[in-house]
Formats: sequence, structure tokens, C-alpha cells
Amino acid sequence: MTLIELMDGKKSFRDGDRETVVLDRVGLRIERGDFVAITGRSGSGKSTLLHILGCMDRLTSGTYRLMGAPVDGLDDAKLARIRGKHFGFVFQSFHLIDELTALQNVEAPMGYAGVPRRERRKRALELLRRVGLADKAGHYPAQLSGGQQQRVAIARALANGPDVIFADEPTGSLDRSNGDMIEELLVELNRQGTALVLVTHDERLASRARRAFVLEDGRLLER
Amino acid sequence: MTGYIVRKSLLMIRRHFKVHLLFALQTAAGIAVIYACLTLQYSTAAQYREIKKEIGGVVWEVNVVSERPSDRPPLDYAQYARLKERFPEAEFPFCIVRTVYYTTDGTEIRTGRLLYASDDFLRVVLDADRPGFERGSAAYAGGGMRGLLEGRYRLIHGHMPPAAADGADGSGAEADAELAGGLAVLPMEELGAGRTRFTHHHLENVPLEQIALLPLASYYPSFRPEEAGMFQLSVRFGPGADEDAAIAGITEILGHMLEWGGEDYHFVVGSAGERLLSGYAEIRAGASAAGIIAGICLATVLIGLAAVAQILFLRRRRAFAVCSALGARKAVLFGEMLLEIALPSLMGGLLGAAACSWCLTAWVQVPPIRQSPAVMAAAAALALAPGMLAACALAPGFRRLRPIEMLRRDQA
Repeated sequence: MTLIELMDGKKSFRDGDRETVVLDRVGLRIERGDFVAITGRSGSGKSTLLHILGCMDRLTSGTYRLMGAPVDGLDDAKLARIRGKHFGFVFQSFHLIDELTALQNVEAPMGYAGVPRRERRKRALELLRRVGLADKAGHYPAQLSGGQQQRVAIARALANGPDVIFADEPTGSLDRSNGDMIEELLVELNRQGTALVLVTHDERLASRARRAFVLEDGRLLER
Repeated sequence: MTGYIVRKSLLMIRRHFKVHLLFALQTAAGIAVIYACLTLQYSTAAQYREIKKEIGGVVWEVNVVSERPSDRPPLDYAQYARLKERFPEAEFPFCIVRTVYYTTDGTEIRTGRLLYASDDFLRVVLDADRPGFERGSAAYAGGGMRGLLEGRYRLIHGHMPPAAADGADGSGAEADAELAGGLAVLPMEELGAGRTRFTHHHLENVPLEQIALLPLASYYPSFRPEEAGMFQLSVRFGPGADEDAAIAGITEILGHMLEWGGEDYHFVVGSAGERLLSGYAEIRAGASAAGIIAGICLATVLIGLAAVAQILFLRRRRAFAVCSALGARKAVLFGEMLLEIALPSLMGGLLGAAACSWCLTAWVQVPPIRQSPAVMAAAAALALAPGMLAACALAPGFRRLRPIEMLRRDQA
């Protein structure tokens, strides 16, 4: 079943009279349980495409459907609800909230989705256990290594049982061994049925995807 | 979700405790002063209304100004008795005050007040009903004054009732026949005079223990011309008397006094109510001024708080962007920030008001403190205001917040 369908997607930025086209007539379908890798040079628009797919940014023109329903005309609040319910995000620089512990960071998306406190806590602990960090639940991000922070971020991305996880250079800030660990974790999640859309420079990681795309001059080409 | 937002806001307050504590304390101080001012205003206004209703234009005072030295008092006891007879419904809370200085051990000089008082003075001013006191030979004295009247302490300066002064400085030569047997000095406590709501203006703030109450009639034998100015006849027209009747009455009294002593004295008449009320007006004016200053201080707290809110917002834009990516709506994020900013100042303000309320009730006697629900509500609203306004100043920032730009910038 098609989860996400992007058709003729265009994203451009206007700077005075000059228009910079980042994405040009991009088309992409993501199925349930899919594993898609998007590669490309720095500044080619990979992150922009990921943000559009994750409903964090809007298309300039084109159509974006989520489970068959168009989302282009939805307001910010509805898009936020969609992000909370259907998507999980993993960022290159982890983006954990410094003031919250690992456990509280994992709880955050559930809190915004209105999950009751007891269930929230139980599920967050379970997710931390799943990424091997149950013993670090009370640690603040500053007390965790890069690899541990990224694992907390993955647990957070899984909090609301998303249909798809968007990972933007998830291993980009990590050393080799930590990168490998995160890579395995993501691949394992995909194996368990969660769709994975990965933006990466890492050819080795991209090669593990079921489908790989390259973004060149604003066009998305399947490899 | 509300529970989560409140919990997270409390968590953030704890994480930025020092900043919030300072603003909570500032708000507490500002609200405490404003609460005190409002409560004083309210209590004074209530007291003002009560006094006005009670004594408004029916209590008058006749002050005496000497035209030339005279051996005759402005109003002798017989004349006073005639006035009482003429106005049986009126009360004459009348007294003449003499100041004396004495010592108990020869090293420390103490001040005392001798009050030659009428029956009505005891009844109206001190709440003590002792008919016939003004012509009798009983005196009531507090603390050291009793020792002076009984001759145990030495008089240094002033004039004592003849019989009582005998053992003190030997001025008993002026002894009056009526008091030949001496005054029977009773402890002031026997009067049960706990209430001194309005009193002779020479005695404001003088504790009862420094006072001796003497029969009015005992004053006249020792009258001295230089004491004429001490006369202050107070007249309170009886229950049911209206202001017009009171004015007519005081005019008649004044006529009699001019007839009896007009060659030597002239008289200044004023409403006692006005004098008392002007005192309360001063308290109200003071409270208003302090309230305005506290309001300005609170406004500066608001500016500071708004600046801190802006800094917190700027520092946390990335966190907001992340939360937004995780599914938080902007309104929810704004709610979080609003709670975080407004709660500490609200709590500070409420604590300030509560502490101030306790202090006022414990320490302020005049005017009697009355707590008003309206004042409490106003204090609570004011306590909430700085935080709410400071947080609301962030609203445009939240409206413009583009999470994706924050993330992009951070990534770059």
C-alpha cells in the first residue's frame, strides 16, 4: 500500500527577483515497510526533500499525498498532528532537548500526542531498552556519547509507532563503530516493518536500501 | 496533553530555577507593596465610611484661644454643668490635659498626662461607664502615674492635684477643700479601658499607662491663665441628632460661651469628624503614592521578565523546532512557554500578597485591617500580569517560528 506519494514536486526559494529551484518535478512513492535511500552532493536538496516528505516543509508546487489524502492545503496544526502520528525523525545532530533526560526526550512525542503518563513512561522505558540504553534513562544528553544520543533519538522517533522514519544523515556525526551500530538499528527497525527514508552521503549505507535515489540538479533519479 | 505541558513547564522552571526565582521574588515584593496599599486603601475607606456615618457632623470641638490673661477659665464647671442640663441628649467627652514630669529613682525622667475628664469622656472615649466621676474624688491611673499620685515618685515639673501632691513636692499649700481627703487612686485596669478609638488630640498615641484620669471638677481650683488654651470642649449630639440640629446646638453653645467668657477668649469651632477623616485621607494619599511607586516597580519587573522571556525563547528555538517536528503544535509550545514564564511570577505574587496580608493583620492597628475579596482578586490578577504579558510578547515570535529554518540553521 502506498504510504506517501509525491508527484511533480517543486521547491524553490526566492531571493529578490532570483528564484532558486531546489527540487524540480520530483516524483516519489514510498510503500509501507519500504527502505529508500536518497543520496546526492552537499546542497543538492536532500534534506529539503526529506523535510517535505516529513511534512515539515511545503512544496512550492506539485502534489503530496499521505495514504491517498492530499496534505498540501493543511494548516500547521494539522501537519504537526500528522508528524506526531505517522512520522519519526532522526537528525544528523541528534536534536535531543538538553533540559530533558533520555527518558523524558523519548516521552516527548507521546506527551504531545496525549498518551497518558503511565503508559508513556512504560513505553519510553521499553524503547530505551530496545536501543540498549535502559540504564541511561535518567541521563541528560550532555552526559551521553554521540552514539548514545543518536540511539535515544531513534527511540524517540519510534515513540508513537510511526509508519515511516525519516533519517537525515543519521551516522554523519558518529565514528565508525557507533555509525555501524546505528545503521544496524535502523535496518533492523525496517526489517520489523517500519518504512525508512534515509538521506545519506554514505554509499555503503545507501547500498543497503531496497531502493536508492540520487538527487542531481533538483531531479530525483533512481539508481 | 495538558498534564504533559504543565509537567514539562514545571520541569523547565526547575531547570532554570535561579532566573525564575529572582523574578518571583521581584514580583512578590511588588505585589506585596501593592497589596498593602490596596488593603490600606480599602480598610481606610471602610473605616472612613463608618466614622462618617457614626460621627459625621454630630461631633464638634470647641477650641479656645486666649485674648488676654484672665483668672476665669473659658468654661468653669458650673457653666459646663449648665450646658449639660440644657442639652441632656448631648454628650460632652470633655477633658483638660496637663503634662507632668516625674522621676521614679532620681535618674530617669518620665512624662505623664493628667486628664481632668468628664463622665462622658470616660464613657465615650474609654468605654467606661462611671457616672459621677467628674465631681467625685476617685482617680484612675496607670503604671507609674499611680506611684506619682500616691506620692511614691517625685514630681519634677508640672502641677499635681493638691491632695495627691502633698507628699511629692510640698505644694499642698494650694490644697482644695473638696479634695482635702485626697484622691482615691485606683488602677487604670479597673476602668477596663481597652478601646481608645477617638481621643483627645493631645493624647494620640499616648499609652494609657502614662495617663491619670482625674475628676473634671478637681481641675478648676488650680486653673492658671496660661492653661486656657488646653480647654477643648467636645460635644457629641445624641442619637438621632441630624447634622442641622447639631449645628444649631453647637451655635447655641458657642453663644453661651461667648456670653460667659467672650471678653477674655475667642473660640474656634470644628467638626471632630472632619479632623479624624482628614487623618484617614492622609493615610489614603500615602497608600496611593506607595501603590503608584510599587506599580512602576512592577512594570520594570515586567520589562525585565519580557527580556528574559525573549532570551529563553531565542535560546530554545531549536528545541521548539524539534518539538514541532515531533508533533507539537505552535499553540502548545506557546502554552508551555507561557506557563513557564507566568507560573513563577504568579506564585511569587501570591506568596507576596499572602505574606503582606499576614503582616498587615499582625502589625497594623490603625486603620483596622479588613481583607477584601476584591483586593485579593486584584492582587492575584496583578501577580499573573507580568508573566502573562511577558509571555504574550513572545506570541509574534511563535507565530513566525519556522521549525524547519531552525533545524536547517542548526544543521548548517
